[in-house]
Amino acid sequence: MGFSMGGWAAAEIAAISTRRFSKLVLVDSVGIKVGGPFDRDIADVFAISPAEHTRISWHDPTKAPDPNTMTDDELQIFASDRIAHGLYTWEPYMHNPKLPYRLHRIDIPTLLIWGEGDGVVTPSYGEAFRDMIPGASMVVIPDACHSPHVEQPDAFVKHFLEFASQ
Amino acid sequence: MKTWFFTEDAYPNLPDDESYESIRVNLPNKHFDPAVGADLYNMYLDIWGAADEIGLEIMLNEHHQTATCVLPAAPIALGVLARETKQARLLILGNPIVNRKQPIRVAEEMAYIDVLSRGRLECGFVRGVPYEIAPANAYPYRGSEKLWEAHDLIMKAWTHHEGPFNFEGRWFHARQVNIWPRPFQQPHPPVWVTMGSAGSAVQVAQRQHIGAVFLAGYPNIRKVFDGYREGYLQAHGEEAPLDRLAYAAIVYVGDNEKEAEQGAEKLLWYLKANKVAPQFNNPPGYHPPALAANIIRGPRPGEPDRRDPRLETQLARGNVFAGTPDQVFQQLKNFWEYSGGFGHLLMMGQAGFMTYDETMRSMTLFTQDVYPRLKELTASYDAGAMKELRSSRPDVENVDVGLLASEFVR
Repeated sequence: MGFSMGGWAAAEIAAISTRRFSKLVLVDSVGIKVGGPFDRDIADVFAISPAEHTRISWHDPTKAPDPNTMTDDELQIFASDRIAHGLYTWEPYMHNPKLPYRLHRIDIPTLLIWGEGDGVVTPSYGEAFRDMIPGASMVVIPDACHSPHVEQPDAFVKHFLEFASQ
Repeated sequence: MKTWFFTEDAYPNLPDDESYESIRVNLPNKHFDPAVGADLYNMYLDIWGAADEIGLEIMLNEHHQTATCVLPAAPIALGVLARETKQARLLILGNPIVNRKQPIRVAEEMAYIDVLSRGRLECGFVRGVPYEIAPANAYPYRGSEKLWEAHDLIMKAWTHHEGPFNFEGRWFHARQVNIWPRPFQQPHPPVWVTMGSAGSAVQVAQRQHIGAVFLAGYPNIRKVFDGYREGYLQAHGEEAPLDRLAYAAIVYVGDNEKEAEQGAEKLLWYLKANKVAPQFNNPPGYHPPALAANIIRGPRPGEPDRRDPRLETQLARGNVFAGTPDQVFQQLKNFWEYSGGFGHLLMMGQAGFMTYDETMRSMTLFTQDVYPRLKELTASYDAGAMKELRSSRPDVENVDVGLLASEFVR
């Protein structure tokens, strides 16, 4: 199971080999480009204000990480994570152009879980992702955005357990 | 002291700044009227031409996607000036070689300008400010390493004359490098690099390039210049010559204090208009983590706002020199002595809505009544005497501008 960038990593690994995996869960994952060069498939999180970033990422903005309540050490870790985030995803932005051509190799049951209000990668982006993975299904969780496991943990766990026990 | 006239080529005719998020990067260009732009571009070239005629050197720079500076390709303007001017040295400060993906192209452009101007080029290399990252789509991590790698490649392209070489660096690659033309000046044009800290200054000093500091003011100038001087002494076994250091500031000289105040206020548009959205001020990887964290947090309560654009604040900080010719000379002399000395003044003498006539009035007063005294001042420079003078004066954050006879800021 991978979340956001972690979902991208999980999809890449599964596309190489599924020998050690039985199932795959992708949560609000980035990693592919579905539109044309002028289409903004994934929000440019490095070009929007912190407030806008919060708005598109969180149904309940009070759950967003708040720099004002962090200690100096926490804030420095937060800043360092952001540097790594940029380093990993700058160009091509948050995707691997080759990944869509490889997703068809994934041959294990796959579930995509998406926050209904996610503005970083929208549910329609998730549907395009799902359609590239043979037999994959997708559930959309209301009142959640980019982190449904944080905003709606009960619904998230319910969907996960249903999929895991099938 | 050599003085370089500088304007950023602003496009100041903007809507109320409450109506937009940022003057940099994402201000829609529907606000740029090409007819107004044509007038402005011609005025700026006229001002540089006039600077040449009255004996000033010329400096220009470039920025991208910003109304603060609508010169996105400084080499083009420099090419125009290479033809239109006769005497002035032509400084580009600088080429954003971290963000430009083809250092060889930069080497070629600069060589062309140097040849066309018969050796008047002074070539600056800069990392670029954080707001340049998005327009260039250049991931800023390890920008300093990229700067020096691109620099090394350009220097070799300029100075290697025996046929092609290949370059396979960590960040840049080039094949069959063999530029035509090669530079007019031998072995290469003077090189300038901007410095923001003692650490960055050492790297400039090691290469004996000219280190330029922008608006560091009293709080920071000693740290940066001292970094350069110590780095130079260590690397080369002798004191850094005065002409290796440059300071950039906002300068307005008026016939009287009232005129000087009005002129300086107009120049402060440069600081006042610089409304930058936080996401462009702090792109990931540009600043080291501790500094990036500070920017995310914002100023702590009670922390002085160093960007405070009020005239009295900026005068006291040593970012603005303004007044009558006597006052401006005294202010500059005071800062020059405090800093330990420098050989170049980069003078932002036009900004915002300042007209041709207002700009020329100040520049003419400067060249007539201030410049000769500055030249005498630097001619009298003695490294030993300067060290004594410097050590007799403690570090300060600001100076009392009242002591500099600037009545209008009291």
